[in-house]
Amino acid sequence: MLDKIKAMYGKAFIEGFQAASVPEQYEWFRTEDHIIFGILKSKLTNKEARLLSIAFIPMEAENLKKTKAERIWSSLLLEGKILDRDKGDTIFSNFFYMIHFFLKEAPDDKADFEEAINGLLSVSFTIVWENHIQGVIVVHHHERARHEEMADIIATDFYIDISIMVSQVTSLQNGHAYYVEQKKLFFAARRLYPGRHVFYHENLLPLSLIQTLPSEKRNVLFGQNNQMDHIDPELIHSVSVFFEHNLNLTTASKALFIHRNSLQYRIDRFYEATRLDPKHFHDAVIISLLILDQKYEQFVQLSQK
Amino acid sequence: MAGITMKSIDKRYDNNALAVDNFNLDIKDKEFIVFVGPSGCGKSTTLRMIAGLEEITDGELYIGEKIVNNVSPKDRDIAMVFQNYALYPHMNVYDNMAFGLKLRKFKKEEIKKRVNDAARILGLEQFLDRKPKALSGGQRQRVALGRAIVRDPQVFLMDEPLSNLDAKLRVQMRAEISKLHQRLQTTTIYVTHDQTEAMTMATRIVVMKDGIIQQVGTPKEVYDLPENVFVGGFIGSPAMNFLQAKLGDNYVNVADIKLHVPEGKMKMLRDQGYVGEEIILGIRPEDIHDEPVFIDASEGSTFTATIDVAELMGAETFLYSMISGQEFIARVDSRNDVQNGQNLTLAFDMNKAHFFDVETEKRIR
Repeated sequence: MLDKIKAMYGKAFIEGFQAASVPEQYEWFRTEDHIIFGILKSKLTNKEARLLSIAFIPMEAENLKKTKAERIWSSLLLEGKILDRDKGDTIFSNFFYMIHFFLKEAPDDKADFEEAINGLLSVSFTIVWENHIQGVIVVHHHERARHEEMADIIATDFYIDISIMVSQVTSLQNGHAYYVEQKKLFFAARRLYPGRHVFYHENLLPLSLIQTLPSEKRNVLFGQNNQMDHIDPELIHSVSVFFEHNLNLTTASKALFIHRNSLQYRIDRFYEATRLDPKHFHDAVIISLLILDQKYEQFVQLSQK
Repeated sequence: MAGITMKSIDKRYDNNALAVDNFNLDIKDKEFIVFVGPSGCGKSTTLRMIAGLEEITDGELYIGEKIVNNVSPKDRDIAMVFQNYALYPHMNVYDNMAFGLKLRKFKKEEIKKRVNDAARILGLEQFLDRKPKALSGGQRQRVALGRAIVRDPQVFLMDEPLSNLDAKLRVQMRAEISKLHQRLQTTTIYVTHDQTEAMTMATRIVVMKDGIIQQVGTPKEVYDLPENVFVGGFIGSPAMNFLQAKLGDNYVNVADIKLHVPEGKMKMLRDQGYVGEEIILGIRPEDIHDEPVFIDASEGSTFTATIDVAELMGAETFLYSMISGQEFIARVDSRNDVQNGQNLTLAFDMNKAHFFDVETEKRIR
């Protein structure tokens, strides 16, 4: 059948994606035997294109540009599919971790972006682009990459603001579900911590917990009105900075640019108002969760608007 | 080269947090401006708005004569240097410096010329083949500067570029960046939380707190004439001493201690109706003296204090003590040997004292 099509379209027919100088000028199809062929769009009527789509599997030129690894990871993470022929592939056995990324604008050339990542990582990786500004870098081996540096270097060279979230995926069976959940978490983290550009999945565990809880459950756990709603925001900020400084009064007060005694006074006032003592580890955990829940609630309400 | 003008600039994040509030500043061509302030004061956010990495919520930003609010960051003709060295660990020094130019489709010969020129300026010529891990911290920071220099931008934006270096190297690199600025004469905006960096490098300092400019001025202006308690306390190390006081006529009472106020300052305070009112007395540690000659000449501004701790710093000693229950630090010459627990007569140089309003915390002038 393919020979007949070839004879019919003559020079407008091309076999194999690599043979095309401008792939976007062709309609692409795949046979059941995985032979990829294209026909010049200018020589194809709409009716013919529809008929060919019934007989063969239509392919996007953008997808055809992908390497084998990109196709496999893309179908697993974005569509939740592992093709039978890919199941035993070594690509999966070498998988180590993922870097979700979000760019404020698209790079002029994705190949340049890939070259930059190549200069940053010493191990092999695969980039799966979900769209022009968002995707995930699948890193195939362990390496101690400096992710903060990664964000800065992209900003410096590409003049693009980038946020990244580093995460592990323990089960590839549920790769798609993990990906979707992590993407939601990454989105919330970017909104909740707008000044930050690098996130680690494990550090976002509390946010992940709060995000996964249905709102009724959150209300039961944290109270319909989170008690933080009744505390002076300046006190909450002071306590948050105290936590960021590992409960160290001296460094936290320096960061807040207040006297150590003033911070102590604010912490005492917070305790009086809540009966939760920021200086005690267990109470500090609870306070952190309450503050996070309050922030998350504000984020939800803003999103609904 | 170009100046930068910022008119009523605000930055409000999606979560409604106001990071920068009504920022107005005119930066002249070739200036070395330092944004300084505590963590979270909005200095980096302001820098990122100039770079175009953060959107401006409100207001206008000009680079040169051109309004650039909607100009893509890559078309603003700026170059950035960050706290992290921001180097490609798997590229050598040459490629690290060349990569940005390659992205902008410069010709190979032009890239080579620019990289070699920058390497010569920064003393990196013999390291061009090395990977970053084979360089010292200072050399890496120079490569980071080189990556910015090769672009020959109108403006350099530097965000805490020395924070990752140890104290000794920081001092050295501080001087190198200043020299570089003198040589290249490129308008530079430099962000730091370190007031020493600000004082030593800036042509003008912008002190920020809670997203609001507190004061703009030369290092000397900001140090000698702080606009408010915050600036007085932030600029200078050890910080300015602040004492709760009550103003009488010709004197100020710090609890039971009476200090004479020079007539020039007294007139200003009197004219503004502060006599009989609570005020904040600000005095820098170096304006508290223990030399007998000064004390003899300072009748009416002396007092006796017990020294809690005398910290020998080398040429000078920091004395930690209390005046009427309020802590203060004095910075005195080490030649006068002071011991912990010693009772010492000290004198305030009241000509150098500052007075701040209790409510507004602004300097009374």
